Amino acid sequence: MMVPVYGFLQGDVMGVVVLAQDHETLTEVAAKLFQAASMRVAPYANYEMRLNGRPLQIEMTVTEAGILPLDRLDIVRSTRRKRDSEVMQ
Amino acid sequence: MTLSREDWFELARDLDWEFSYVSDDRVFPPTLSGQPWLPREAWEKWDEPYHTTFSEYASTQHKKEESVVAACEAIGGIEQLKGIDPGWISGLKLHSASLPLAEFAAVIGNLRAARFARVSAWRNAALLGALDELRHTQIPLRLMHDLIKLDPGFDWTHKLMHSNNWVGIAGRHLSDELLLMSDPIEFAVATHFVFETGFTNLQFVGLSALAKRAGDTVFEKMVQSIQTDEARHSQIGLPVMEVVMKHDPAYAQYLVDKWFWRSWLFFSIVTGFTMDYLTPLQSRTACFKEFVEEWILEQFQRSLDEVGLKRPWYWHTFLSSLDHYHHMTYLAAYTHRATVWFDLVVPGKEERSWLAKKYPISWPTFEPMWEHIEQRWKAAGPHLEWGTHGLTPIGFCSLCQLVLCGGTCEHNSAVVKTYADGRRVFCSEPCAWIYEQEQDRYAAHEDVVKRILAGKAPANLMELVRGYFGLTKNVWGQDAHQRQRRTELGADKLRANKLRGAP
Repeated sequence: MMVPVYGFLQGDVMGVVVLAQDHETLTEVAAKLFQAASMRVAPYANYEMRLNGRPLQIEMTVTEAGILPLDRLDIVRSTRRKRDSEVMQ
Repeated sequence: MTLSREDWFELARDLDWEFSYVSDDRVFPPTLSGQPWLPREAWEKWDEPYHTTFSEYASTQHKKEESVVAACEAIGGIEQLKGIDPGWISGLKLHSASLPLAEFAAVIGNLRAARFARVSAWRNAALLGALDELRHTQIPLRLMHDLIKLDPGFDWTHKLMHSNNWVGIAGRHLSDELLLMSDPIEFAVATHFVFETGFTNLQFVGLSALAKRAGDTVFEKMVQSIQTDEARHSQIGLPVMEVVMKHDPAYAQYLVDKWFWRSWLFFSIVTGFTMDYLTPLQSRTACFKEFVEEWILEQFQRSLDEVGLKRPWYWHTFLSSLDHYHHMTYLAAYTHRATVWFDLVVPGKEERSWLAKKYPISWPTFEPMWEHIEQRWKAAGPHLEWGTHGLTPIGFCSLCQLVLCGGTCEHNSAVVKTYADGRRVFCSEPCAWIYEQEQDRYAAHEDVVKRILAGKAPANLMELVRGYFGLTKNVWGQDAHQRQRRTELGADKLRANKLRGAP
């Protein structure tokens, strides 16, 4: 099922509508958001994702992360590798 | 015997009487005359400084009309524009489409005041205001009509507000509320006191000066002519504000807070784009932020102080947005330029250096994006507009209907809120606050994304641009300089073919 979300890439100028699928991993959703902003911002490797400000584990699927239609999903730069204990399930 | 002006004018200008068969609130219903609904004595001292008779008005306007016509005939419309920078032409297309039909909506707002305002002097001044706004509708429609021969994009002078283009939707969302449906009190505060007194000097003084330097004398003369009307009818705002402040200062503050923010978003796009990006560098005298500091921060704050109003509660957010908002929206518009009817430009190295000096706080975040866009142009070549164009649907604010470009690049200020009737996204806290003050007024409106999700508009970008936004390939926005380059290359190719005798 399609889950449209408002996506924001840190370092970009605008919010876009990313059409995620409920079975997709957050890494796949992040790739869509990087692609959407790619004419302005080059993708970066180290990043975290946040749902309405709450950190997420990027290995989760959209459903597992509890993402609902029209949520705010952010990609923010990360300078270090995250430990599991640092992110909320 | 002919009466002298002094014999009749004051009586005619400010003639009210006590009704014997109906009550005041039947003649001036609160829903049509506006809040606070006060006894007529509260308005008795209402006055405006111009005290113009209709005869004087007609005579003065006639001279102004002659002046505009003479300037256009002397300068020669299309011929004048042929040598002007393509960026400025784009700014002209943006302005031309944004103004005339909004001005026509202002005719309605003024006419409502001409009937339902609570005092005769105000009603008479509003009637002249309505005639002013009709003139401001007709002049740009007339002048830009000739330019359609030069560029079919000028057809959007009339078309924009009738279209489902996202800029048209945002423009109608603003002008319908501000001009078409507001009661005379809200209209006077919002339009005359905030929009006209607070902001339009950006156009009439700032942009007019840039037009002259850019060689666009027609635009310069047009806005100068309009400015003299605005200077008169905007004077309706202050005396209305003074009465509202005396009886309901909280409502006065609310109206200012609401309309200052909505006006700011409008001008930061229409004027901000033109001043900082579309005006050729050699024609610029100051940047948009400097014009705002001179014409809004200083003068408008003085107006607020004079009537005892506070700065809007989001003043800090507003000050911060001076460095960010129009740059963010311009980048968003550039990378979605096929969704609008005017071209945009990549600021060149000298322009970026100028912008870096003018915006030392924010420009370091924008510079890498313009470098990135330049690299993509180099990789794609001059014929491939789509190499630097977004394909993903844009998010729009549920209040202002503009792109989600609030805050900074590091932290976008958009907020998602959940209500009983669904979720809404706002570009900023002020937009969310405005929405929540009058949810019933705004709730039924659907932004472009909601229309797509409801199946009322196509999700495919090309179908959206062509079928829903009403744009065609010869009109939709491109990179202005690349378009010019392609035109020149095409002309060169035609010349070469002709020399070779090829068809």
